[in-house]
Amino acid sequence: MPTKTTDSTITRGRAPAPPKRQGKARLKPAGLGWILPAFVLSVGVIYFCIGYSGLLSTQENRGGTSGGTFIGADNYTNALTNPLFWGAIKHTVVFFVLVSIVQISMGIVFAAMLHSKVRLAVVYKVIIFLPVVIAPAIMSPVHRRVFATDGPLNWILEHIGLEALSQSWLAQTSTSLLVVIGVQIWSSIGFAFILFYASMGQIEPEIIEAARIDGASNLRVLWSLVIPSTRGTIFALLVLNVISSLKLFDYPYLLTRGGPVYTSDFLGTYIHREAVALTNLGYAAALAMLLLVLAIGASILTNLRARER
Amino acid sequence: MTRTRRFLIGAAASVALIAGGLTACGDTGGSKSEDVEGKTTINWWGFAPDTTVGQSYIEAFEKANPDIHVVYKNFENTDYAPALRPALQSDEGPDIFEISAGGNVAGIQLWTDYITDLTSTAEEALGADWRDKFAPGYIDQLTVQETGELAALPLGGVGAQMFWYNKTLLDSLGLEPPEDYDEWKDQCKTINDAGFTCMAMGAGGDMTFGTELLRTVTSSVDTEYWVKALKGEASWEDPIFYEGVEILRNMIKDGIIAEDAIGVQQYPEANNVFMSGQAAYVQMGTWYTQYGGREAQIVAAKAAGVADPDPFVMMPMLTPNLGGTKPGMVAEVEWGFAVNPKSKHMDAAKKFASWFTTTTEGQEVILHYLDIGLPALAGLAPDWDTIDLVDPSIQVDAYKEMYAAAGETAETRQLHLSQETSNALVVAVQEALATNNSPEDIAKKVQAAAVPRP
Amino acid sequence: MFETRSRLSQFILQVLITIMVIPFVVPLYTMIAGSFQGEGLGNYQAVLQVPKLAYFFRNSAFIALVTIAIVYVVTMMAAFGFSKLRIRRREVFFWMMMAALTLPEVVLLAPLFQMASGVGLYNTFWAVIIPIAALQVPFTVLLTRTYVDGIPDDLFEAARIDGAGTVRMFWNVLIPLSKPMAVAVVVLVLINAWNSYLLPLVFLIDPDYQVVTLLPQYFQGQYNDDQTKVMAGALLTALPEIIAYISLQKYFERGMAAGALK
Repeated sequence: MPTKTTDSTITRGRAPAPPKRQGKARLKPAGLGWILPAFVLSVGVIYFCIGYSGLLSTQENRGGTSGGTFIGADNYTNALTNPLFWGAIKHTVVFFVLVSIVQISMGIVFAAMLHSKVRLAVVYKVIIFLPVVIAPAIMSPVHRRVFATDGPLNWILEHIGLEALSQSWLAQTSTSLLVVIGVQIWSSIGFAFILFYASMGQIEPEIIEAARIDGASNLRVLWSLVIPSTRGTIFALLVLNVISSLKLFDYPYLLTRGGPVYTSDFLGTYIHREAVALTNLGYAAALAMLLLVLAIGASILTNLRARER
Repeated sequence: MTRTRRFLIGAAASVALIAGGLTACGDTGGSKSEDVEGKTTINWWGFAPDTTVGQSYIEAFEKANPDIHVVYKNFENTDYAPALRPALQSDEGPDIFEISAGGNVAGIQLWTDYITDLTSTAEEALGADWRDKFAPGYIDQLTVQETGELAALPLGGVGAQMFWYNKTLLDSLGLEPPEDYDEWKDQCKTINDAGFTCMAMGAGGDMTFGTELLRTVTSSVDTEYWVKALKGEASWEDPIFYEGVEILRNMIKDGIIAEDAIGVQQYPEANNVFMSGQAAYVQMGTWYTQYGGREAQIVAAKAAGVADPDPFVMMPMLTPNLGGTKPGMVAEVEWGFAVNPKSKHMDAAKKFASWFTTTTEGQEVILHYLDIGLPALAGLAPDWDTIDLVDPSIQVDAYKEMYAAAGETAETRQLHLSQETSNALVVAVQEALATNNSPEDIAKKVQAAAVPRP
Repeated sequence: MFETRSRLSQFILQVLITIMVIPFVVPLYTMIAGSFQGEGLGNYQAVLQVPKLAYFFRNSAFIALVTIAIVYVVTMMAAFGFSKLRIRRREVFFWMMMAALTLPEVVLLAPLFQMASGVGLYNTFWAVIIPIAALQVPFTVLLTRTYVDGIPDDLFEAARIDGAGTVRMFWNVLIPLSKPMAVAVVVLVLINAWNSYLLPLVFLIDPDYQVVTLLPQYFQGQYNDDQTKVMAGALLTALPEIIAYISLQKYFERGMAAGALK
């Protein structure tokens, strides 16, 4: 039984020359009520937090009961002129680029391999995805052990003839960022894998078969057929990586505390240090607002670039 | 329209339903720890002692005060302040919490808005001259300078700026603890050649153990300088500090500490290396006395991953002459019990705080576990006969000497250390050990970031 | 995907993938080995003797279940709305939700505390469940919306011609058709709810409200840190999650395939 709402929609939809964008929607019932619970829940909670942080960011606030004092945009100018802020941004960019490249390419390779004839495929799938399941807080002491000077990584390097590469990974300003990147890759390939595995399952087998009959090699099929058909997944991962790189906290905090000498510092660890260790709540809030602007800006940018193509 | 509205009502109702179910479940499921038959229950939050030791404290207390039930919640150092601050702002915070003299874990400066003045409690327990009954300095260290309120009653103190050595290992290599830097350097070569670590050191992370080593070597250049710099009476851009940084760097070059010290944390890693018998020396304070006992050491070694540990003789060592002189120890109140002004069981909370800190009975409980070490009440000492040391014939005298040195010193550990200075010094140590930046550069950054605490 | 006609190439593929998963296995192996050092099985016994251990698991399970229920309901509704119903400026709403993905948890603590204590939810499970759900919903909506987009409009149209209203379309068409998605949502939310640390630490102060991620703290004090038991505890707490994942693995894969971001 059509409802009044739908009726009125139809009437309105019949108005002369409806705008193109509404064309498809004219028969549909109103949906605002349906998205409202999700919208209220996430937007309500998070935007309250954003508003609160925005207010806090204009204060000098040391966390006492007396509250803060208004200092205008000082926290922002201090942040933007602080080399630690730009250092964190630089690490974020390096992190985003390296993690995305390795995570996406390895995700594709694993997905393609496991769509082929492999024995015990389910075991490999579980092993690859387990790092996504286990909490960083649980895994990080283990990773510290793996990267220790006398840990398994150096042991392996020494036993496959790469002694020259064996080093104190966590102790050097030159390698601490690499450790964080490596661990993040370890823990996020599984997620990329599962998405690629899923989207590769959507490719019609006939298309691949046809390409093979035309004499295309395995790599050729992967490059010209499979990868293009997973473009949506690649794009989605890039957007998610932009966001997760900007708000990265767990692994740099748990593995290196952003050190030594801030060489693996990220906005997340920077904010945490200011908010928790230094109880500089106003400044931390200003950093968080900058992070928000960057994350939204970067997501929109990635989104626009993807549409251009 | 009506449809939409009906739907909205439905959606709201379903959310409310889930909410109702949840609340109901929460009520039946979470039997709050309020109701132990007829007893007053108080909650105690702390960053120390360990949960099991804390439980032993509670057992002793409840035995002497059967009408009070205590629940202890232990936090990791870095989690303590972030969890405690909102709890104290709420009406459901703990009745008892811990405050220390400085630093960013529990330093008194973080909690001045949330304390109850305990002056009258102390006076009731110890009489008008109560101040004199505590070890010197402890009361001042737990008093809010601006208002004169006593924020917490001191439980005990710790001494630091000292080392521990594995006597069993040194004996097997025919070595004696060093008198000065060159002797230490020479014997570290012997120790390293024998396949052991000379000094287990973890300067990584945001803990202040690396800073304490820098302080130790700087104080070997000039014993007065460090506290002056913390208070802002001396600049960090000072030749004494430069020399301290140089000595610290040399310790790596000369094989006294391992090259990867900055990638290692004192806990658990460096601690495990020493406890498992792989290192000759470690920089730790009086709290390490607890591992001098046979049983405690076996537990610690197993925790470090040794399957079948063989206890070694653990001995304290005062700082050798590393830069011109021998600095003494530093000591201060370790922490005290503070009472939440919003506590609904104020009397029981005050009773708990004062029993441990002002009665001999309570102090003996603390001393028995040795994880604090120095008693808060003057004139008490651990009863060494009741502690099962590995080799009492030499350990007891050495421990007594260490306690005496810690009791004599007037120099504090963290009292004048602000959060900002603490953070700046942690980074300075990282720069000293992981970069080639000049000591002048390093000092300049510390000077810019530090906030003096007079 | 890769064609392996000969036995040799099949063998090479097998060897290659085995070598490639070694880096995944090393930390997992290190963790298991670490949990048996020192006292061996005694580490596990020590963990099992932690007082009120059952509470840790019960509370985590409760938080996870309720969060999953809430996220599932609001996600399905929102995906239906975004994908099949008429909403003006839908992309604006959609991206406003996506922006909620960007804030790090540590920033949320102070405002969430104000919010929670303002409405009397501090020290209740709600104070943890609502923020976790709020942080998860944007992503699950993103995933599910793509999935619902893939369900032909004709199915809904047919239902409508049969006289179904919006609510019945939702129940009779969308919910049955999106079962694979349900598993994906369950797994993703379970991981995040079970692993949450900071929120329970700060907002659940009652000793009976502890969650599994706080278990390792029991073995880490100020002046000691028993990594062998920390790892044993870590393994035990990760176990339910791992078992849940392995048993749902097949359906999870299917769900992700269904919601695949093409």
